Amino acid sequence: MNYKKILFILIIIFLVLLGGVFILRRDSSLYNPSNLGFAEPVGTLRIAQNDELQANINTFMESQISEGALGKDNYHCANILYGYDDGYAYAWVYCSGFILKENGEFEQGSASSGLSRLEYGEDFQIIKLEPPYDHPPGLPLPQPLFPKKIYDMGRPSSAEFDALHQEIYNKARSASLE
Amino acid sequence: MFAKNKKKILWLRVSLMFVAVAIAAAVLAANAAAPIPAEAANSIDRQAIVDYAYRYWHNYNPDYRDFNNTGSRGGDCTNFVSQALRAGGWRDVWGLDYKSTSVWWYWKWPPFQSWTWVNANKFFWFASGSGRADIVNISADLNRRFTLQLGDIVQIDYERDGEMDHSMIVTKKDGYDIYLTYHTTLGRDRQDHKFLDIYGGSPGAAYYGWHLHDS
Repeated sequence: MNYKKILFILIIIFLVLLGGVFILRRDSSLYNPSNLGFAEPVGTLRIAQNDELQANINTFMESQISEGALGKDNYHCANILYGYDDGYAYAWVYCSGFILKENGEFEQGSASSGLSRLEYGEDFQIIKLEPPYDHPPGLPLPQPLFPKKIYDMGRPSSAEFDALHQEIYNKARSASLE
Repeated sequence: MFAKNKKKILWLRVSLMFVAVAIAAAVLAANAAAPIPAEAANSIDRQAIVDYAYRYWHNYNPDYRDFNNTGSRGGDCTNFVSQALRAGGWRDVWGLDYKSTSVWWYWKWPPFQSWTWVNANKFFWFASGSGRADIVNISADLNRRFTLQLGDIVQIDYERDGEMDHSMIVTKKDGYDIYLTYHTTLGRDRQDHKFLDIYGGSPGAAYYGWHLHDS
C-alpha cells in the first residue's frame, strides 16, 4: 500500500467521522437546554438575604402539604433564598415529611425539591406558589417564571443540600420532642 | 527516495494506531465512570433501583447530564429513570441508530445518548419491545397499580394523545397506595409522591406501569 492510498483512506475515515459527529450533534441538540424563556423581574431584583421572607417561605410551603403525603404530621421545609424583586421571591425550597420509627430514628417520608417562585404581599407574607409546582412535566411551561440571573444560579451543591436536609431534620426532631 | 517514503508510511501507521488507541482509551475511561453494574445481564436488583432513586432524586448524580429545561421536549424524568434502571441491572443496548426504539444507551463522553434514554415516549416503545417488562394499563383499572413492585416504572400521557410525557419510579408501597420518586421539568422533584395525589392533579391523563422482569 503506498502513501497516497493511505492518505485517501485517512481522508475518507475523517469525512465519515466528521459527518457522524455533525449528525449526532444536530440531533442531540434537541435534548440540550434551549429555548427557555426568562421572566422580567418586577421592579428591582435583589440578590440578597431576607430572613423574614425566608422564614415566611418555609411556613407557607409547610402549609401546602397534601393529605396523602407520608410523614405529613411532621413535615418541614427549608430554603435557599436566591433573590427577590418587588413582587416575587425566588428560592430553592426543600421539604420533607418524617416518620418516627419504633427505634427512635426518623425515616424520611414524602419530599420535594425545586426552584420556586412565590408571590408575596405586605410584610413579606407569601400569597401563593406559582406553577409549575406540579405542572405536567412533559408539557411546555405556561409562562417563563424566573429572571435569567436567578435561573443561572443553578442547583444547590451537595453541601447545600446536606445543610437543607439537616435543617429540616433538626426541625423534625424538635417537633417530636414538643 | 523509496526508503524515505517507506519511513513516512511507517510513521503514519504508528501515529494512526496511537491516535486510535488514545481515542478508544479516552471513550472507555469517560464512560467507565458511569455506574454500569457488574451483575449478570438478565437480573434485576429492585432494591438497587430504589436506593438509586432515593440517593439522586434531589441531588443529581454528576456522572450524568441534566436534561431539565429542554423546552417542550420534556425534562430529566426519563433520564433519571434510565439511570436507576441501569443501576438496577439493565444493560445498555447499543446501536448506531440512536433514534431507534430498539436501542438504549448512554455515553458520558462523547456526550451522546439514544433518544430512548431521555425521551418518555421513546422509552415507552423501547420497554414495549425489549422483552424486559410487561405493560400494566393503570387507567383501565386503578387497582392494577398494586400489581406494580418496587423499582417498576409508571408513565403518564397527560394529553391522551398516545405520546408519553412523564416517567417515574415506584419506590414505596403500602396498603393504601404506591409512591413514586421522580425528576421533573422546572418544577419540584419528588420523593415518595403518592400515586393518588398525582392522579388527582391529572385525572384525565392515561397512566401506564412497566412491571420489570426479574430475570
